[in-house]
Amino acid sequence: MSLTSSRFFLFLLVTVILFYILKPVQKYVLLAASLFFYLAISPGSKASLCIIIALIGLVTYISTNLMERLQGKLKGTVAFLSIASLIVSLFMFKLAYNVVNAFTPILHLNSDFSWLQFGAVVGLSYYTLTAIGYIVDVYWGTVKASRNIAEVFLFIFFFPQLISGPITRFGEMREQFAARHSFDMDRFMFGVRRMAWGYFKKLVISERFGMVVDTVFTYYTDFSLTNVIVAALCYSVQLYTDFSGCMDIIMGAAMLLGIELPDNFNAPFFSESVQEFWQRWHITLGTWFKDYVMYPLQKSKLMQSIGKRAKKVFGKKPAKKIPFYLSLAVLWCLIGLWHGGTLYYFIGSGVLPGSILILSDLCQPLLAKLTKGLHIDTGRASWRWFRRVRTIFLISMCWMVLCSNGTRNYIDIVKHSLSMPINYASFNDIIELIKLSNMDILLMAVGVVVLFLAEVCAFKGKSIHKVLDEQNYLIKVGVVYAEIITIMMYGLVGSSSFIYFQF
Amino acid sequence: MRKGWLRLLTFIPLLGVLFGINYYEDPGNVFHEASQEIADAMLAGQNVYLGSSNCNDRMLVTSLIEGMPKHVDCLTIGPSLTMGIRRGNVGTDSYYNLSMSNLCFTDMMAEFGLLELNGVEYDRVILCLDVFMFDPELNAEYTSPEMEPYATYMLGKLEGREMAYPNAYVNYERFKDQVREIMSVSYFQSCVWFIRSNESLKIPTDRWGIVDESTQDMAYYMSDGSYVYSAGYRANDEEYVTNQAKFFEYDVVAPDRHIDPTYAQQIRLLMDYLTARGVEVDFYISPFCPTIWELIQLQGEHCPIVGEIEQYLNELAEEYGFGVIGSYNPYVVGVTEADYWDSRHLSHDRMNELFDFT
Repeated sequence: MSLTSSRFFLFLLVTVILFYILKPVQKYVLLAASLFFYLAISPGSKASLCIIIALIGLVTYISTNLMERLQGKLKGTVAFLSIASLIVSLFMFKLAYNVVNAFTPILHLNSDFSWLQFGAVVGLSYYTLTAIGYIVDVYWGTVKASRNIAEVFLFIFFFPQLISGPITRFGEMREQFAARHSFDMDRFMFGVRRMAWGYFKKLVISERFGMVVDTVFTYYTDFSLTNVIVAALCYSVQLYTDFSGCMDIIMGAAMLLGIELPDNFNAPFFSESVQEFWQRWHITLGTWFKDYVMYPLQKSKLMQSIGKRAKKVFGKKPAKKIPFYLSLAVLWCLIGLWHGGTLYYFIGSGVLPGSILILSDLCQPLLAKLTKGLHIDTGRASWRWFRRVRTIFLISMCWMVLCSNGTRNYIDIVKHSLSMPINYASFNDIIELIKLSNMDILLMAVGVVVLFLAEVCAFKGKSIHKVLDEQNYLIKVGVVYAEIITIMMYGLVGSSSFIYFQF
Repeated sequence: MRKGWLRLLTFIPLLGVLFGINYYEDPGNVFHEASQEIADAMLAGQNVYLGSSNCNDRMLVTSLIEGMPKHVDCLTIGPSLTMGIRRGNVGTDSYYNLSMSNLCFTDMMAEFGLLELNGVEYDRVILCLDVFMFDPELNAEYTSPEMEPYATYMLGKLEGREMAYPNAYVNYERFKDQVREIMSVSYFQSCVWFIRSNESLKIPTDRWGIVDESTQDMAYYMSDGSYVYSAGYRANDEEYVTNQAKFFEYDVVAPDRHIDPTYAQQIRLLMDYLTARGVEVDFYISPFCPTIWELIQLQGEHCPIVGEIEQYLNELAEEYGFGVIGSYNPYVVGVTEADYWDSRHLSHDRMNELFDFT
């Protein structure tokens, strides 16, 4: 079962019907549906999956309830042990093989580590973070531990968010799970519209940009540097429409059940700096790492003592920055590692963005002087657009490592591109090589325009769904019809899975 | 509240169009299954064309085996690569070609299971074991529910276990397929493509029929089970083949795919079974076209399976005293792109000229 299969629609339909019919036990209907969905969507041994589900759920439930009864060091020990066991399971089942593989050539190891290659455990990276966040919240006393084991399991394994987030907090979900939801037609239609928009983004826009990316990065010897840069920009559109499309489907599905999940995107391509971009992109992951890793690390005794020592060596002002940069470096290394533990993902989604952030912060005073010296009016729209384009370009260059599908490939592609900055093949030849039809190009252009309009709405603080909500019923239905007919006629169904499913 | 529910009705026309078009056009014959009737016509000695749609070749082969004589001199079992081996090429009229597209390990075992269950005796088998057959991942991808029970039966039989008569591909399974397809957007797109190519909503020809002079240019099954591509497909030129070869799906042979040891062992058990029944086997290895062969060579050690299969089949043939026809290497066989209809399929005439199947 995938999110684009008819089985998923059938599953969702049955779940929605049972959810509203069996109102007194809605929580249990959701839990049963979530476990069924997880087992159905995951390849590999169902028995091992059940063990993983039980392990993560029980460790979380038992430790949080124990912590409420304990005080002091003992409470801390329980929190540490439970978090450590979750991290170990995440590392073993998801990261170990890739991490060892990344170091094998560097350390010249010849051993066979295939025993570390467990079957794919879908969504493990997401629900482990969800569970850890809950344990930490209980440890800090921000939320009370739930005595209801079903509630804890449902919070961790709630099916729409299970496979690629958003990463939720217990505080924002508990009441929604506890409440009895009545069928609300407006909310239901809002969910349908949001799902249709998500499918449109994924099947009509993302898959077509994916064709460009796949062809250019697979047959890169036929393409020049300029083509590769355009393909890297296309990857940004592909990744965004794929991931945000997936989020729209997930949030729309949750909305059908009366549950509101936190947004994961907020017009990221309107960001004027890389820092702002990461505040608008994969929001729940970023805030999770900031709240549970970066801030505690910055406040830790270790960082305070580093700060004190740095003060003696570098003086007051730079010393303030050193613990911040160190925490930022740890944060981005962990984010890089979280993306599967492969070297190229570690570089493309951890090392490079982290380095850009640190560098841009270091260069900030210099850039401020430069803009002042050049008499640039930073309030002008043209300057803001320049900054936006620069941000998109920098992010796309980080992601170029990801679409190269391997560090060695990335190096080869860069080497080749630099040796051929421009090729003189006509636009038509390139399009023919990529196998795009005129209709594909038209759909890509229309898709980007529609996407841009939706992003403008989001940037102004009102999502396209809310804007549509204010229109009359005929317009709302007309838009859904247009989206669904386009998907039925031109959606590239069954081409590939969602990119973020692999994490 | 009542008004609220009524609003859901606005989506009925969309569903109506999806279900209606999928059911009526039905290019895969999911709702107009006719494999039994087609098999009956073939067994009666007639060539059968597929008009507006495809047929389920798994079901067709099942029906053919169920209806064929209880003794046959020669059979061909393989993927689409062997669909062109005909009665006239094997030196006997007592012959059936049981090849099917994307034949996987399960399909192959299922065919032997069906022959066993239907009490069909045969003296010789031309067997094409291609790259699909040695990889569990690919096998899982291509295994169809129609054939799985027979494969399980045959594997049990080979391992010496007592096996009950398998439950056939029952109506419930077919119903499940139909429910899936009637709601399927990709099936709808196939229907739209079908409508566009016909330039009409109306289905232009019968779904299938007996070949006569007016239908000879269409794709058809010959009465021995072999397949004749449409005249349009047969006219593909060297340039078409070379261009298609550039986009060959390398994940079928690489990266780092190896012969699965369990499958290799089970094929050995099958060879023991055939030897014990006095069946003569000839392995057919269909050559890659030079463009693909060169690209495979470029992959070097990342593409070991091609060499492994050829070596495995030669060793097996030597051990059991069987024959080997062909090679993956086009330069050994002496073929060029001009000998192919697409990146993988040799033209049937050329195949029968190059190789002696008698």
